[in-house]
Amino acid sequence: MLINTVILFIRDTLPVFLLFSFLLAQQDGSVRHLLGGTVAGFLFAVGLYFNLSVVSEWFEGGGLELIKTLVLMVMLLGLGEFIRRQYQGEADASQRLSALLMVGITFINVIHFIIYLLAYWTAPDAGTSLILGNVIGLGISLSVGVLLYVAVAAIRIQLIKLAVLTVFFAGQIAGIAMLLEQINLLPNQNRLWDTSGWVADDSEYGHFLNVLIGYEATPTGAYMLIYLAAVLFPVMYCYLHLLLVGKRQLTGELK
Amino acid sequence: MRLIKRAAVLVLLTIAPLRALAALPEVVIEIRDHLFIPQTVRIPEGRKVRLVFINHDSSPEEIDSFDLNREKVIFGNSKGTIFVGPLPSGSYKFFGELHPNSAVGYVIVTDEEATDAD
Repeated sequence: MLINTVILFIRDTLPVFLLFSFLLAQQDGSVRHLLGGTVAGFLFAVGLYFNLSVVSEWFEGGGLELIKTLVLMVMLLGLGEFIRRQYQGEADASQRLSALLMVGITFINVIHFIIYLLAYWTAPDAGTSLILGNVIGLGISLSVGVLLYVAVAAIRIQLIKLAVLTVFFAGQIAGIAMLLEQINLLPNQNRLWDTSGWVADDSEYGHFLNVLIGYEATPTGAYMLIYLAAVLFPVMYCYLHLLLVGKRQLTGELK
Repeated sequence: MRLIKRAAVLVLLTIAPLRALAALPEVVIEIRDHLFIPQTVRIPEGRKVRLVFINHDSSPEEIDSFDLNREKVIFGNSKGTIFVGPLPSGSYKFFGELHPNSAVGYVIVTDEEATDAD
């Protein structure tokens, strides 16, 4: 149970630690906002846990998948606005958005660990293993998060910082394809290629690359399509925003 | 009359996917004492299949598969469905993430006519 707790802790919470690091390393990153978002996301996840048996029965058993999809789409919109504000020198106004992104990523990832933790807390002899497993998992996730923060903070060009954040996010957003395929809301998908001979999904590198950039050894067409759309979305969002604001300025609506 | 025709087409378009869903091959896998029963199921090659997991244990189980790219929580004394495929021939491992040592199963995709899918 100890090793399983460590593995599950890392798998379910590493995206939270990585996004925390990515956002903290951006211009005007605020620990207070990021921590606030994380705690709020955790509380939402606990709230969902106590209603999960009902929620998961919605939409012919696809309730949880649809909720996660919805959260991811809201997060993508939030990312577009966050990047626009960062890029256009309004970084101080992007702190609440960074909190929103933390709420989303914590909510959709931590719910799985809460299921494990609360289901086995009462098991005989589980207490010590669970506590020790959480401490070890926390130490590993924190270490990876700190290393990533140092690496991203060292990047001097802001555009590259925003690009690595976008790629990380695209990996999370592309998970929508799997969620919808799993509940049969996407048409039949064939696998585009198989790179499991190089890096298998269930290997340590596979796990890490999956969280970091959304690596999949056998992606489907829908997965790659959503991945690419998520990468391009912030660019399109900024472009459209510029067009609309520019037009309003020309017509005198904005001064 | 045109309105009725359009309404009929709309209803047919709505029902057609549901009929297709109902026609999908189905395989039932039970979870008892943190074990998958049967441990190995055979499904047809190149077809979408509905895998129904029935958890008879009181504790939840999280079905996970790197090979199938699937992950789903099945609560205690409840059931859940995962759609897989179409897949090429081969062996695809899945496991219970909360009991990875005992809850291990395989989906064998085969081009043979006799499979476990109804």
